[in-house]
Amino acid sequence: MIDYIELHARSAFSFLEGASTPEELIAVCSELKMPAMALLDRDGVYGAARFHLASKKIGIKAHIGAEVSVQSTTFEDQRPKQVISIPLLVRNRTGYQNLCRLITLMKMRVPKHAKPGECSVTPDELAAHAQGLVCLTGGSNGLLAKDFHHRGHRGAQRNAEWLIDIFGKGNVYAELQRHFNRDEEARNHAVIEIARRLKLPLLATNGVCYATRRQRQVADVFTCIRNHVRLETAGRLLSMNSERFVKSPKEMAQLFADLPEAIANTTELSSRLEFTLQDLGYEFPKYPVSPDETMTSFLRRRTYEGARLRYDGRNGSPTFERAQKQIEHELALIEKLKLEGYFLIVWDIIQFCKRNGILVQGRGSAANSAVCYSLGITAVDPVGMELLFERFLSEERGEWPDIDLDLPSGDQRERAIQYVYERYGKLGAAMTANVITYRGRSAAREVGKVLGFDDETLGRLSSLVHTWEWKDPKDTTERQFKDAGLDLRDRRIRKFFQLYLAVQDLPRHLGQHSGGMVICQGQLDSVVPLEPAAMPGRVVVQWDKEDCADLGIIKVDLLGLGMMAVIEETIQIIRDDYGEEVDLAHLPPDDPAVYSALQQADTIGMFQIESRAQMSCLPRLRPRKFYDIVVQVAIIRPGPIVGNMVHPYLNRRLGREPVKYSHPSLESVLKRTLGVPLFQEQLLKMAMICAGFSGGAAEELRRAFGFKRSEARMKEVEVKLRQGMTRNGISAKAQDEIVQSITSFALYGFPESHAASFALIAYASAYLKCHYLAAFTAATLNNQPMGFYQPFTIIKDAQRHGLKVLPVDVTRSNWECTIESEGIGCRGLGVESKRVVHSVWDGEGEIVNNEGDFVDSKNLHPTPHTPHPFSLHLGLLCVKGLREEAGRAIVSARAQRPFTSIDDLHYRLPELRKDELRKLAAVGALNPLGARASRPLVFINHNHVGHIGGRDARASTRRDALWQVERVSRDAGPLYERLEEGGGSPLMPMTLNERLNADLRGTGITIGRHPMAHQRESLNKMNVARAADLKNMRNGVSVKVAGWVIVRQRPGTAKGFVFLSLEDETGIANIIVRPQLFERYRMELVNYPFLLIEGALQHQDNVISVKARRVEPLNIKIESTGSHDFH
Amino acid sequence: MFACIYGQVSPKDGFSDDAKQALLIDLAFTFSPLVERTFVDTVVLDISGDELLFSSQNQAEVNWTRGLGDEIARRAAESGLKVNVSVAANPDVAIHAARTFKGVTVIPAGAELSQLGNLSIKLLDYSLAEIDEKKAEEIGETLVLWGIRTFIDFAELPLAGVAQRLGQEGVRLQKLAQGKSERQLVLVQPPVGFEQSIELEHPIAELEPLSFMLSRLLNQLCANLNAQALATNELRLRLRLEDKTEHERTITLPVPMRNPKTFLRLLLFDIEAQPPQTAITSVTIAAEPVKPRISQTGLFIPLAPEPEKLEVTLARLAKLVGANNVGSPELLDTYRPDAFRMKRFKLTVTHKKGTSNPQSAIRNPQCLMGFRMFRPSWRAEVQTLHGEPVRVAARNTDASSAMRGKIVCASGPWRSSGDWWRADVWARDEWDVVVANSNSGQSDVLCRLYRNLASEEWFVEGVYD
Repeated sequence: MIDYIELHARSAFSFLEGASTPEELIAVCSELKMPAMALLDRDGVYGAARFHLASKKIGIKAHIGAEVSVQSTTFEDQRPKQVISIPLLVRNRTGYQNLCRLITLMKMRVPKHAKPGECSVTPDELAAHAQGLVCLTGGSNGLLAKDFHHRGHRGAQRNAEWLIDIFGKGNVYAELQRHFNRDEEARNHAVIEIARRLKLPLLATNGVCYATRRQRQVADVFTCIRNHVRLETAGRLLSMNSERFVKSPKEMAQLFADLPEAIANTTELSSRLEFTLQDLGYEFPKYPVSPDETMTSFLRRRTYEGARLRYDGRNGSPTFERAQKQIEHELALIEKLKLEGYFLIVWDIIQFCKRNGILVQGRGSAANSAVCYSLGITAVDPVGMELLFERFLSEERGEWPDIDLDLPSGDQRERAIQYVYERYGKLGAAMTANVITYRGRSAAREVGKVLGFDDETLGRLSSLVHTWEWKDPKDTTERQFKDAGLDLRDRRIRKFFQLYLAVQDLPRHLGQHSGGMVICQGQLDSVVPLEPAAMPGRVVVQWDKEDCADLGIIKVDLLGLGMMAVIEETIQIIRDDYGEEVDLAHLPPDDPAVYSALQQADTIGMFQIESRAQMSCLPRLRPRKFYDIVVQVAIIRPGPIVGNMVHPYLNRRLGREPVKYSHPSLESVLKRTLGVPLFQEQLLKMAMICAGFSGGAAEELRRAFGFKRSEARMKEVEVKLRQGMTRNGISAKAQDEIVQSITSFALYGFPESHAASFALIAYASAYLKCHYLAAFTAATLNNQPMGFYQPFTIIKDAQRHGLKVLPVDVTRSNWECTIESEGIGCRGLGVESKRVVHSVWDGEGEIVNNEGDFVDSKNLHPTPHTPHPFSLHLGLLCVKGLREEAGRAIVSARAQRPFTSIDDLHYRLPELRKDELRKLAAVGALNPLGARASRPLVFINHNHVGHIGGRDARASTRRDALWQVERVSRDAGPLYERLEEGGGSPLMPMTLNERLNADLRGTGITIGRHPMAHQRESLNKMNVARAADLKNMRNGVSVKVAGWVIVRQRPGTAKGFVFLSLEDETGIANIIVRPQLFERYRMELVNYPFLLIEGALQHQDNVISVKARRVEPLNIKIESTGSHDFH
Repeated sequence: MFACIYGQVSPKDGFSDDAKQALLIDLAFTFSPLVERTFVDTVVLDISGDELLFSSQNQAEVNWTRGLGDEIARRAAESGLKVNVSVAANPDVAIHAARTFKGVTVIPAGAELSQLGNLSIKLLDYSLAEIDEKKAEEIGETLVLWGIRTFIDFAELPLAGVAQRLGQEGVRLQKLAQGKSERQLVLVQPPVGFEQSIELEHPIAELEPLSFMLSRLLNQLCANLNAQALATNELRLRLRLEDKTEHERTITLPVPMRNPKTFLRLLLFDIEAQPPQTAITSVTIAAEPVKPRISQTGLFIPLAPEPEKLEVTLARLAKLVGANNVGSPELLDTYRPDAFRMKRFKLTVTHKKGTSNPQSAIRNPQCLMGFRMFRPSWRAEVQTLHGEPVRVAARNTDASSAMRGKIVCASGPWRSSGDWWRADVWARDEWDVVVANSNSGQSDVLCRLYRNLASEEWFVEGVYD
């Protein structure tokens, strides 16, 4: 048995300089029976965590190191910007810390995506961090190789001596690589000579860049991508042969048969490398407490303070005594696992948010903890809801808990993140990375480019990568290629396909995770190298959140949630404008308006329950209490859908089938969900009850069946589960049922605690929408993009609910959308002339009501709504292409003195660009400033049509404004400078359709009539029903509906069915398209924004949809705002 | 008065754009010497004075102009062209009309707006007002925003308002819409013949009579070039053959020339190398006119051969050894051994520093050694022991040289492979070996063997000096 250990291997985490994942390297290493291996990625330890974990599973020792770029300018060679790669291996923890700090030093001083050569350490920095590291002289990119080329033996020897000075005699190895290359061998001779002279040990390595010989092709492709060349033109940038794969000890021994000591030294060196990532030395920071307290006592005190407030036994909440038992149990475990610091640090972030008025709520499994609830981290009561703590934290699992905090997306979340940086220092906290991998279209394009395909073929190739979630079984690769006019028998196309598959999931570059933060006691840069993120002020670690979790680094997820921002802003608007205080913690729990809206699926804009699928389930589920919303949030998920649990649950709820249990002992667990397992906690409890699992073992079972499932582990756990169930006398049939529900469900299931946290937000959003529609809609529009629907649909929905919406207006609009009290001057003609003219007449003969909204009595929402005391005023942010600073400048200049004309606006705000003025004019925002038109002004108010005549009607048309904008934004020149223009513009006012288009193009929304309303007359002639009419029709009748396609979906769980939402002026009609029909009408369904659908009406359990039979595109020419497609 | 002829788009007529344009220009010249090639499908001609040809006494203007228009359309139809013709007092009005209205349109002076006013503004051709594309796009956007849909909408806007907002470009454009634009036609110069052709009464099958014909044509061609102070860098010879096929040859010249004797020799060498299959019935020679070469040689720079002579010499060599075997070899940037291509021989002396081919650079002067390459490599029989070659026997293709013997020393393998994405993927192992020569009295040979890894065949690639 030959002992050889590969001590110089690069993975794909060298980003385009390696072609295999760390796991692949380890797998080959194991096949070749190599006891250890070292991973030396380029300027980082990006792949080290995965390398370590993979090796740990197999029982191979994973040595850590990196190839570090060092400037050579201070060596004797004075050529500028020469960068040498020095391979460093970690000997002990000090060495690891030095390596991390060295890389951090290098990365932090250059911007993200620095060019090669910009990113390097100086020789002095290298010398200062040399302790605990072993240095190899390197392969063809190494220090000796370069010197040998440039200055011959002497220069190379001097540099070897320099390395010895830095690292010490025993820590420098003369590295020899043999890839069957003459030049390399000549260098090897020189290295051997120098090594003999300086008494350096020789070390054989293979400079591995890929696991198997075949992956050389991927390495060549990456070389091309890195150098922006094609394979045909890459020439000698590509590798000379395929020898940089992981070679067996036998092969290596043969290669170095003349130098057996070079092979023997690999095991000797390996034995000296004590360090593995097991010994990371990570410590979560301690929370500072006063000297008379310990973290434990402080945590206890804070927890019980909170618990006494929360568990007061009122309004159905459990009593303190009932909760105390659970809290004690949790605190004992927290103390045992020494996690007090973690809880206190999260508590501290919560306190910061509360102090600063930032809405925050814990989500995920943390909501299973009564301690978290008491500390105010989460808002769901786990005692009252009987949630399972072990889903969050268990002793057996040996993993750190994971607390996710939802914060309002945007500035508020950034404030919380910056607070953590401030508190723990730039090098004490960082975001976790997000490894961007080669996938989808970008991978297809890059591989295609390297192979030299022209743009047209590249387009066709990348279009093959479907975004459709559901894949037709007949949709084979061959068929896809054939459909795209590409022949897989063609060598180049076939090669493309092979390479495209081969690069899948290989790392491309490092991104930043949306919210995961890691915090460390002491310096985080000694645990993992840090890098600047693309976003200024952010620092990321070189590992992603999974790696951090796997290595026991605790992270706190500070996630941005658009709805949190909406809720926060809505509450603020209510406070400012309604003069009311809404306390989220004390919302009425059984608000009838909320449940009525939910039961009618009137949920556009509401958190988590607004999607089409949710809306089609709501009338069946008919939520009547909070727990129903928890179920509603959880039930429309892949888990319950794939596990066929939705229909049994709904049928049982509607009394159509009896409630039954796989085993009587499960009744207590499944009673709340009518015998159907819907939540992860239920699975855990099922395992605990049926098979006698402990909480931790049950959680282990869930993980075994979870995302990273492996066949072997699943089998192992299943055996244990069955053994336990047999012990408890559960029949084989029931066992099968239970195992089946666990296996299909664990993959996608939702934790009940998480569902409950989301349900709280859903309830809050529903409450705010039902009672403060103006404020809620304004906040929703201010926080776009978010949610499921475009602003257009949100506005139309709000209008159908009776909300008056006022247009963008530079004389009144703020940057954000605001609300206005109806008392200000919107109540009708004659109250305030300026306001009235503006709101009743938009200057272009449009039929509007006295609040600026368009009258279309037929199109009002069928259910009468209480008049809203506020109207919504669209903000300048709605104008696409208007910069925020320009918009805010308008508002602040106006606050000093109102604008008198477009000239005045331009004069006072010269920074407003011409295109911005044009955009404002085109959407009518400048109408109040425009010169009066010479035509007689006509207004139509309710049933009264008349002329404004002598009234001081300053309102002009959009065209008047456009005419003036062109003049003010152009230097008139001496000839026209003093020319006064009078009598308005000679342009014709915009037609109705032009204005609709201008609105959609300029803002994506219109407060005027829905585009479908303009077509209603002709649609009526074609017997096309309106969306609102469908509910009055019988099940099964043939019906025609038409509308704007706002959603197209083809969910993975729906077996090829396509779901469309067609919006018209009265609401949304749901369309179901069979797979065969979709194939027939694919072009129409995918490409046309307006469709007429004919089909059979399905009216079941108050859920209305049309099963399409025929599809016809409608030729309506308006600017499309886009739809929400294929999610 | 101006007439505009617009060749309708018809993919069926079989004309290429160039051919159609040539026909339109020819057609226009039959009516007026003042012709503008406005666009590839549009020509304008100044027909002032044509009334003498097309009008009878006291005939109203509108009648003779219609008659002229009809005549143009008739003659176009005879040539197989489908055209729209318009006659107007303003050339741009005529263009817009011809591009919009089918058949023959006559627009009397003063009736421009009444006839064109309702045309979509999208049809207004900004290029006629000499407005650059970016500005045109900007004005176009503004007009759309203003709701200007037709020529008349634009024409009726107040001049001062337009000038203030759209500047002089806007004013020019508005005049264009009003039919009041002012511009001179950019006249087409009558074509100069850089193509000479001759139809032969009797087919020629021999070089000598052809040479006579070529000489005549080339003399005329060079005289034309000379008259225009031009030369050519490309000659195109088109021979129509007895079997109705065509034989085409193109000779690209390294520098512009206009020497008929040189051209003749080059053509003759080429025809000798690539003779036509049957007798020749017609000969056409076309030259690409370019500016002649201007060169000033330095006093102390050694004289290079004249390009004309060099070209003739190269042509002569090509005739002898084949066109692909003449030129300068250029090493390719690849690991594929001995990969090079022949590029055209160029007599250029470059004095740039640091432009030496990196592949030819001697990286390690200590290892300097000459290598004598066998082309083609000698096929070899090699015995191996544990993968290493131990005995070799090889000979060259004509068996004039051979190598046989025991390998006393071997170094390798040196492995290379590449072009894995192509059909001609290659991989080889090289060995540097010392062969003990079995012929007594001869010294050992240090040579390079290689094994093609795809075919498992061995070769001797060459010997080290």
